[in-house]
Amino acid sequence: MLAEYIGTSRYRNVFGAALPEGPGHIGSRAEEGPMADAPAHDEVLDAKGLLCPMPIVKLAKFVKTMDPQKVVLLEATDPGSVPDVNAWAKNTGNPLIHQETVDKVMRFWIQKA
Amino acid sequence: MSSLLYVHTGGVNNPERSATPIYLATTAAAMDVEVGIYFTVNGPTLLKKGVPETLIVPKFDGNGAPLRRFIDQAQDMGVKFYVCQPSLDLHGLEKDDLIDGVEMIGGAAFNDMALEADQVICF
Repeated sequence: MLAEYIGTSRYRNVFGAALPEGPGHIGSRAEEGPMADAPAHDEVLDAKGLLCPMPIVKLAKFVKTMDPQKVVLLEATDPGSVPDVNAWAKNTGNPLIHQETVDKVMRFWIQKA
Repeated sequence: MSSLLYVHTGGVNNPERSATPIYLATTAAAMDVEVGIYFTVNGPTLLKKGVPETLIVPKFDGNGAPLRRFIDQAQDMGVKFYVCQPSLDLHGLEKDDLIDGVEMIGGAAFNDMALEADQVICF
């Protein structure tokens, strides 16, 4: 999972600049990964391909295991995910701090309260 | 904590109605809502041992999933399942005929739950 996200905003944020291309390096996934100005995250939760209610169930279970203030990046393709994650965040008190949709992949940055 | 009580009256003769209350309840539990499902009228037939594994929740393309999957998700998230005796009698069922994790209540307890819940949602 680490390697998969090298070249995305998290690593740009950590290192101040995109990592150079090199052997074994996946390279920029700008069109597939989060946008450059996205907030940093601590964990990635892949819910792509899962249908309602599984992205929310997976998110709820995962957030319970996280330390307060940590940020999880949830990726989902269920078409109802934007209203669903907003409703979940509102009701559980874990703030949704950022959201992006690129093509059909919705990304949510959720901070554990 | 908010609470929701679902009332599930659908039975084995309406597979297309079987899963929706259960996965909505699962979603509510994931939202930190206290959730129960009260299976009444035909609802208890869904909880008879062996039924959840064989009852397929239909999908337009024929790739339905067994009801068991939805029940497992709900129970895993802490959704409580309730039945009452008269609706078991309706179908000749005993408590022992039902899958694990189902609690027997009566009409008074159901009404009390309904009064205590923030909302009651009926199917």
